[in-house]
Order: sequence, then structure tokens, then C-alpha cells
Amino acid sequence: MTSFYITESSLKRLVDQLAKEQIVVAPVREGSGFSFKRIADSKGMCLDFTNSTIPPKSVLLPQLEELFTYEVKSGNVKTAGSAGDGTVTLIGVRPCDSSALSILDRVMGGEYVDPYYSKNRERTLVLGVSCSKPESTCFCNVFGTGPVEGSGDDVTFTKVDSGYVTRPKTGRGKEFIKKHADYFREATEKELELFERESDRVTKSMETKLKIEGLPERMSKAFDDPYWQELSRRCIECGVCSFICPTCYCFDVVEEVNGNQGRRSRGWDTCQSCRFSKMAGGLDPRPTKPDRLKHRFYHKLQYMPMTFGAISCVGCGRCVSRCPSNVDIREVIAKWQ
Amino acid sequence: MVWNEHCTASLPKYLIGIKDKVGIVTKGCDGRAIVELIKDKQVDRDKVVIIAPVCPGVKRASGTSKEEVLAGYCERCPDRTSPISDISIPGSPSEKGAAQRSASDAKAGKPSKRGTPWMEEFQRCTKCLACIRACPLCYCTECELDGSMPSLVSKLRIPSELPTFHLVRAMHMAGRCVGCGACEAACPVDIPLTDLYSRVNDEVERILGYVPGIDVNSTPPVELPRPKVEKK
Repeated sequence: MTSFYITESSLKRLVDQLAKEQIVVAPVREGSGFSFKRIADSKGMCLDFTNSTIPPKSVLLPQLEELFTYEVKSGNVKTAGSAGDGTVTLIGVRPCDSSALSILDRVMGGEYVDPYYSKNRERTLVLGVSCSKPESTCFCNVFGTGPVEGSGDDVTFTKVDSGYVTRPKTGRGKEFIKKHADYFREATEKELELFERESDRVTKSMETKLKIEGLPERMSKAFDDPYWQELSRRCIECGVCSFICPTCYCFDVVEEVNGNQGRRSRGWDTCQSCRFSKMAGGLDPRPTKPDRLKHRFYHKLQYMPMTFGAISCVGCGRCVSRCPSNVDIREVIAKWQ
Repeated sequence: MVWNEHCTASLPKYLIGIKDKVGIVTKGCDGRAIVELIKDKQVDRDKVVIIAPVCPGVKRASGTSKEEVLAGYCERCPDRTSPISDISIPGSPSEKGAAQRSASDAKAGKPSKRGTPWMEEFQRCTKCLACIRACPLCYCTECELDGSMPSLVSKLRIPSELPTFHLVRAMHMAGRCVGCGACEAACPVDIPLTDLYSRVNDEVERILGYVPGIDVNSTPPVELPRPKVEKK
């Protein structure tokens, strides 16, 4: 597949043009970190960013999403859908977050299709940007979900010199480059060589060594191990890990009723909450803290590979750096590797 | 054992519900939290052995440079050693000198923002409830803010409800927050919660003359008068 090249200033002009025509979501500086926000032009966009606190999955699976509204009028119920429309360009997705999207695709767009997610996914073009300086908590190299390209990218941009080597990954990505051919040119031999060297440098800079072959099988034998009790002693069940995880997708549905009108929405939920698995009648399959913490790791490392064929951790390191009581998924993998 | 400026977690949280006798190494704020927990009958004084060294203050990454500076709540800390202890470990005088700032110094470090800036801070909230879970003084098994029924606020992150969520929590921290910063350290989006709670605490101190975490025998400011039961 041909590789292209776009200079930094051309990319900015391209983003300016896109932002006029459609929704463009990009990483912007917020406080001491970064977050993915809709931008009006390329001024706010920052592609030299470290992982955002809230992953870009929030664009496809918003933290609060209106499902439909309804109105009861003289005995009849009228409902209205509220899925957004118009194309969305999601630019600046790091390989780990991009790979996380393809894991969400397996869940939300596989045997059972989640119409809301799928619609958002269809209308969103993912422009990935390779990682240039992984943080100490990053370990995407373990899962092969980074650091150069993510499996959810339509187009991957890699910073080389004062521009980006641009590689289309999907049909949609090719179309995108064709449509905006004025901004791109074919990459030269030298740029491709620099690209190889840069990819090599970043890959080698990641030092976490963990083996994941056979991990699900070994974990299936460790369900009753006292290790989980011990590990959960420090957990405070805050649930931060699941709110900032790019592959967590559990949601709860709430209804807001106002007179004869109402709205049903869904929003992120966390399996670390003590109410998450409580059922009508009072039964709770995960009544204690060790049960709940264990469930999170089993979901990521055992149930997902068994059901969907992929470990659902992409090594973004968010839960590692944000856990207030130092629960570290790398330790868990190391224990059962 | 690790005892340094990165010990941001609040250990008294782990005391709640423990049946056996345990020892605990406390920062000043942790000691104040234990005082409040004893008053609230969540911790049995006879079942904890409090080891109290002088806290160095915790450091947190600040700004975009990720440079580590003393956390805001430690700047405001009234005392870096625990008010109660079984074994106290004296620190070097210089540390102690820095720790026991004069009241005016502590006041000077207080933020003065009101109104709108807070509404903007609240809109960043992910409603993950980490602040509640991390707080040593949040021990309620049923919290009216976690979306269980009946609830004050929805379980989901509805933007218009975020101020309600935070302000209700702030009111519940009035006269209780010991400024340990566990909420701020746990918050994934860095909302300066202790700034808010210290302001509410100031009002309690001004109106009711109560400062939390000082004395096990003082009465909490909003304690309901208990009917005296006469023995017949």
C-alpha cells in the first residue's frame, strides 16, 4: 500500500477545512492533561500529547447517551430516536486507544449489534497518530496494540521530520486521502526510511516484558486462589479504573420522567460498584470486594479472549497511573504469565 | 514500609470494619480522620495502635510540566503530626517548623474562587464516585449520592446534576473534612475538592467554632441532642 506524506502545516489546513464541514474531535489541552473535544479549527488541537484521562471511546460510546425521548398524548405514546448524524473525524487517536476501538467492535458489532455504538462507529473516521514518547506506565508492546499503529485506525499518521508519514489502513482511509489528495504527496524513500527508524526507536523504547501466551488458560485454573483476596485488600472500590479504561463498555440505563414526557438514556457504569451486580430479590453474584476486583481482571484477561478472541487490555496504562491505591494490572499479568 | 511524599492514600479508610487489633502509621491528617472516626463510633480506640511520625507532606504532579510540588491540601495542613498517638516518632525540628504554619499562613494559602469557576470544575467530573470511595470519613453503606433509589441525583453523569452532586457532598463534609486530600488524589480529572471542603469547614469554624479532628471528646457541631433516658 502506498504511503503518503503530509506536512504539519498542510495537516493543520486540512483540519481547518474538515472542521468547517463536519464534526472534528481532537485531543486538546485541559488543565494538566488532555481530553478529546470537538474543535472549531486546528488551533486547539495538540497532536504531541500524552494519553488523555478519558479515552476517545467517549466519542463512540458517550458517557451519557440519550437513547430516545417519548411523550404520552391522549393515550398514544410517541417516541423519537436521538442518534446523532453527520460524519465525525476523530483525529489524534493513539494506537492503544485505536486498538481498543476494534475490541469494542467485537463486542458491540459482533453477534449482537449495539445500534447506537454501531451507528456512531460507522459515521466516524479514525485518524490515528503513532506514539512518539510512551510513558513509564505504557505497555502496549505486550499486546501488540502499539506503539506505531492501532488496529482501529482508518489512517495512521507517524511524525517524521516536520510532517507525517501517512498510511491508509482501510478502504475508507484510502478514500479519505483520495478525496483530500491536494494536501498529501507520496512519501519519498528517505521519509520512509526515517519512518522505519522512528518506528523501531519507539518500539525498542518500551521495556515492559510480560508474556500473554496461555494467560487465559492459566487464569481459568486460578479462580479460587487466595491471591485475589490479598490483592483486593488495598482496593478502595472507587471504580476509576473502569471509567478511564478504553475497553470498558458496561452501561446502565436510566429514565427521566417529567409529567407526560420522558427520556431514556444510558451511561457508563462500573463493575467495581457494590450495586452493579445486585439483582431484584437481593441476589448478588459478586457480593464482596475480592469478587468484584477479580471480576474486572477476569473480564479483561480471561472471559474476553475466551468469548471474543482478544485480551481486552491494550496497555494504555491509565488504570495503572490513576489507581489511588496502586492496584496494577501488570502485576496481575506477571503473576499468572 | 514506604514513608515518603508519595503516600497519598488515606489509610484510616482501611480501619473501618476491621475487627482485629491493628497498628497504623499515620500522617497528621490520617490522625485527624481517626479522631473523627472514633467520635462517629466507626473505629474503636482500643483496637488501634497509632504510630505517628512527622509527615513530609505529599507531592503531586502539577501543570503541564508534570513537575512535582507540595499538594495544595498539604500547604493548608494545620499539623503534620497526628493529634492522637500511641507511639510518636519525633521528626527533625526543621520539618516540624515547616509543618506547623501559623494560622495566617494557612489562611493565605486558601483559594478565593467562588461561583462560576466551580461550576466549570464540576463539569469535568466523570461521576465515578472515587472521591466518596477514597474519603476516610465516607463510611455510609447507603450513600444518597450514588444513585441508589431513592436518590438525590441520578446514577449517570447528567451534566445539570453535577453541581448538585458536588455541593451536597461539600455540605456533608462541613465540619468533617480533615483535609487529607484522598479525594483529590483519587479524582481522575483533578477537581480541587479539598479547596471546596476547606471553605465549608471555615464557615463551620466561624459560625459554630468547631474544627474537626482535634479532640476525641469534643462534640460534633451538628449532633442531634439525645433524649436522656432516665433509669427507673
